[in-house]
Amino acid sequence: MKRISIDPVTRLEGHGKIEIFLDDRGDVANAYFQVPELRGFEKFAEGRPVEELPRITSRICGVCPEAHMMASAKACDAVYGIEIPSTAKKLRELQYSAFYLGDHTTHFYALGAPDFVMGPDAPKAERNIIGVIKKVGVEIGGQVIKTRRECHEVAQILGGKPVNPVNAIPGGMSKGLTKDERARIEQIARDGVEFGKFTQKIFEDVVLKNKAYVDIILSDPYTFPTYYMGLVDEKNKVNFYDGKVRVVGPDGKEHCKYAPHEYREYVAEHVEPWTYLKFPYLKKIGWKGFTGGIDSGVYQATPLSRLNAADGMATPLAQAEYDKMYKTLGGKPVKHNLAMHWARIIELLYAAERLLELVRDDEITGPEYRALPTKIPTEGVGIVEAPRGTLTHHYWTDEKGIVKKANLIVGTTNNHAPICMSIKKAAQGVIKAGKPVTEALLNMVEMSFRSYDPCYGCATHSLPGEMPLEVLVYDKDRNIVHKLAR
Amino acid sequence: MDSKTIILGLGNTILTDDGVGIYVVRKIDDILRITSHESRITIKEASLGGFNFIDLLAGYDRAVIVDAIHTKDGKPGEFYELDPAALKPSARLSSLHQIDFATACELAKNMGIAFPKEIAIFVMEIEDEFSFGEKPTPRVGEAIPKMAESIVAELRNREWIKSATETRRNTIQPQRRGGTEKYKKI
Repeated sequence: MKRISIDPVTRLEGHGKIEIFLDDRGDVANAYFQVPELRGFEKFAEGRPVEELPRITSRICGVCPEAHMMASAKACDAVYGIEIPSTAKKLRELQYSAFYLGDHTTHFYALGAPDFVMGPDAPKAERNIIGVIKKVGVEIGGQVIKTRRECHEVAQILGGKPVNPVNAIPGGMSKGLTKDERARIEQIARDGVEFGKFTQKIFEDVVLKNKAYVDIILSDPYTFPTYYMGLVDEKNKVNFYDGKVRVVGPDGKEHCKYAPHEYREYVAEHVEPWTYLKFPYLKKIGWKGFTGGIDSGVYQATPLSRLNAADGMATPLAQAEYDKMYKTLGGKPVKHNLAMHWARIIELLYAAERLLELVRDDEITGPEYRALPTKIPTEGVGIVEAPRGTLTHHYWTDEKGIVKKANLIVGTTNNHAPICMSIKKAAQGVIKAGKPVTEALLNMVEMSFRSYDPCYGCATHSLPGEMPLEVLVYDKDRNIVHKLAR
Repeated sequence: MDSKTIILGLGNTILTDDGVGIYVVRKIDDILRITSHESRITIKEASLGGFNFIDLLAGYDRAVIVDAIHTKDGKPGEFYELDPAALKPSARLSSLHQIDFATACELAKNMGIAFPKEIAIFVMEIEDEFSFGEKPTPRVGEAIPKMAESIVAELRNREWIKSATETRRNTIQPQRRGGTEKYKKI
């Protein structure tokens, strides 16, 4: 068989693209972000029994299968009008907490930390997790790998397989938890809490004790006021699995709070001619173009926006870090996008604490982990917080439970307009006329994009979570003057 | 003879051609069951990347990875071996969201994890990875058995496959009940 070498990324079809257009002087006139989109989910779902969707949607994406499975199972519960047993709810949240712990770990150590540990202008070859472990210590790599492996083990215990789970079903879960399994998960959760504390310490030592980095976080190119969305429990504390969606404004005041089935009264989607991806916005304020602030319906749904939209964290250690973040960064809401990394590790600690809390709850090994559907199926909405933003699944079925229509608003799509705007703002802030455009500067533009942890695996439903990215800079005559590919 | 080899098919079988790596390793499994009895070969399929490579490949001496690729001038159904020095371009081996394959390999090495010393990557050019669908497009579909046979021949050439006793199979990706998948987890 022939063996060939291929130029990276640039020759690939179907990758993400950041395009920066310069004006006559060489300042940034505009910036766009584009990704290809997946086609035909609705048609694919149509005609299938609705109970298949939790299994199928968990396969849309290799990055956050649990999020799709949970949102889908909740939508199915709603389609059948079932209130699931308390044990089932706790088991789902237990599994979801383990997933969050693993996922946030990956993002922070593989994508967030390298920019801070190695520096935003460090050579690309060093700006990765290998660089981080070489600089901070090899034990970090071991901790990261162990935490990820143990989170998969929780999924294995609950669902019979480490990834792409299929155990959340309409009405509850497909199996319960035994006492032995519970003991093992408790051990994993305890380790997780220690790892969460260790991660706060790393952030403290590497970022907060370095004034230059704190200044970057607070700097104007990365400051971007919008509305902020997140799921909250009955006490307005952050919850990933259940509750109401709350939105607060750039002034910190509550704009709205809605139950999943009401989402269409509050969120609408704007369409632009240059991309297939839609731009969700707050319906009651309206789409005012690519602009932030209190008069624009643009909102963010990210770890930081979840913290901004809530009144606090439901667990003690995470609450202490929450207070510290707002104290350090000047109160609520925090509008600095790079603080998203901080918010993400506070959520990481919360996920570990919540995992421990749930596994210690005696009800977790209860025998009632599923209620059988008895009502005639109709229509239902399920919402969870995916790590990358509020995830909404909406299904319509006939009286036999066959899907007639399906609509998804996935985590990253919520942030599509803010991502475009953040990229433009960062580009305008760091690329200046008369100053050469370097790879380090383009990385600083990319940092604004990366903080969102965008996962176009499901936003575009393509190449599960593995989209290559290209940054192109054009002069006033539309000639490419700089290119960065990864 | 004692080398442990994994043949790993990557892809997503609900995205039309994207699942080609998985379809090909299933075919390889068919061929090996018929023509050989190889005890040191494990066949797996997965829809994962990044850190997961470490868990998937740890403990093996050799790895054969089969994946989809979509390049600008590629002809759908054309398949070839990828130079491991140019790992980035295949669909699942490069990553924006996760660490890329090369980084995963280096991380494993740094962490002292037993990782395959020899890795071969085979890819097929695909036409459509953006539409939901459980069947590959015609040109890709036709090339699947040919690619499987070529890979088996290539591995025999390299003496990575010898005659022995059995083939084991594991499945990472969930199987759809009543779907097109032929195999179940063993």
